[in-house]
Amino acid sequence: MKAPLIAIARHRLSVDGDGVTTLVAFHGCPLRCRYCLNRQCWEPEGIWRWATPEELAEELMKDNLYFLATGGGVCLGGGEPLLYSDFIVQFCQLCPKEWHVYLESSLNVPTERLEAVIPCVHHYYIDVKDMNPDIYHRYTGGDIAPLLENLRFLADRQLQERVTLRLPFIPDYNTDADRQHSQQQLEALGFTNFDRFDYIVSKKS
Amino acid sequence: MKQGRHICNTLKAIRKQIAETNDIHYEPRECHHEGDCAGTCPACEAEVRYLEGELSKRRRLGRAVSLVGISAGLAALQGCGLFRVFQPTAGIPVMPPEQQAKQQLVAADSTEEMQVMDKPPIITTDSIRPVTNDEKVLDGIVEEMPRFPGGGDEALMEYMKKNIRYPDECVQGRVIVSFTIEKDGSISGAKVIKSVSQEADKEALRLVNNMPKWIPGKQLGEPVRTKYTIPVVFRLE
Repeated sequence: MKAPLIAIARHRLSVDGDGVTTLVAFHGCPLRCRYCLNRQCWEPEGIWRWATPEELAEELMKDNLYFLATGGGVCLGGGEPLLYSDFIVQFCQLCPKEWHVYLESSLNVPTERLEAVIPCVHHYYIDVKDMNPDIYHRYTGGDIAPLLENLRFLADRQLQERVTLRLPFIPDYNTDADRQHSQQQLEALGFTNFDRFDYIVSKKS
Repeated sequence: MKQGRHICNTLKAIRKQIAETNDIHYEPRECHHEGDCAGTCPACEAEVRYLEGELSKRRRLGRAVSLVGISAGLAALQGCGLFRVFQPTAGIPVMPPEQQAKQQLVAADSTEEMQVMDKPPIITTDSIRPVTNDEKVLDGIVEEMPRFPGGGDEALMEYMKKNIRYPDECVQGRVIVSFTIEKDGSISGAKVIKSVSQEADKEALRLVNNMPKWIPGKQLGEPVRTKYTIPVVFRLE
């Protein structure tokens, strides 16, 4: 089993989780966000390399000392890492149990893919975008239904504490009032960790 | 200080702590790698392999090895200011190698630097960037990060050590405080984003609000308002 990657970024300090982490960015994404920074994850030529779970685990082992000493580990992002949930499960079985595993996902995938990785993941960073279905569709080109189903899935399993929800202000797509409304909807599901920030768009895009 | 060099220094401090904790003779050498090392140059990697070898030897001899969590506070504090990296997508901005040269010419647009294994450092990004205006708070890395006066991170640690008042209650943990560094270096909007206890939170906010004026962050040479996050560590000796 091999998965396509667009990058491996080492030595990230408290950026995506506690301690020193390595980001593994997967190729492929079901969404087409207007302001996406990693457009190569949509394009066939965007693949940097393919790796088996064993190869990836071995490669990340070179920072094992840093991970253990700082309580860090690996952040799986992309692209959409849950397109490779089987790969992730195998990879996590090969990692030392002390590593923390963080997942950055849009959750716009079938629920069984999320369910498969639940035993492996310590914390989830979810890019919600906006909870308004029209805004979501206009900005991402995707249907919000899988995201909603997966958020309910996490809430039903009382995993809210292990989830950080990203709520951006997206120029030309949502307003601060939309974002507030999104947060209220998510709070109703029991989520409490929110990361609110603003997209800042250059003239070029 | 460039971000890569900052990472290199932090990793060196972690290596030193591992060595000291496990009674390993280790003299970190000044990294002379040309360019932005980020702890990935052959000399830095060799020091990690040396420590791994020494730890293995100790395990083989049946000696206890301490490793898990010994540098947790260090990584958090050294990472301050890097907490919130501008991340508009599910991932972080990354760039295929063939676009790197082009991107390095527009470094002013960059919000983050990345190191890809076995590849040269990557500078991102081209579609989204911080902008400077009076009201905007830059929530992430700016070209020139704000610095604590009188010596940056080290001076900040010293300030914390000198001024922290331990609450009466027996409390341990990290309070994470976020705040804005204004264009004149003053602190505003400090709030606790990860709590330990009411007393510890209160003390962390007091410390942050009483800090001297910082040297503000700069974007395109101009002071900008910058959001910053630091942990305040309460540890019982």
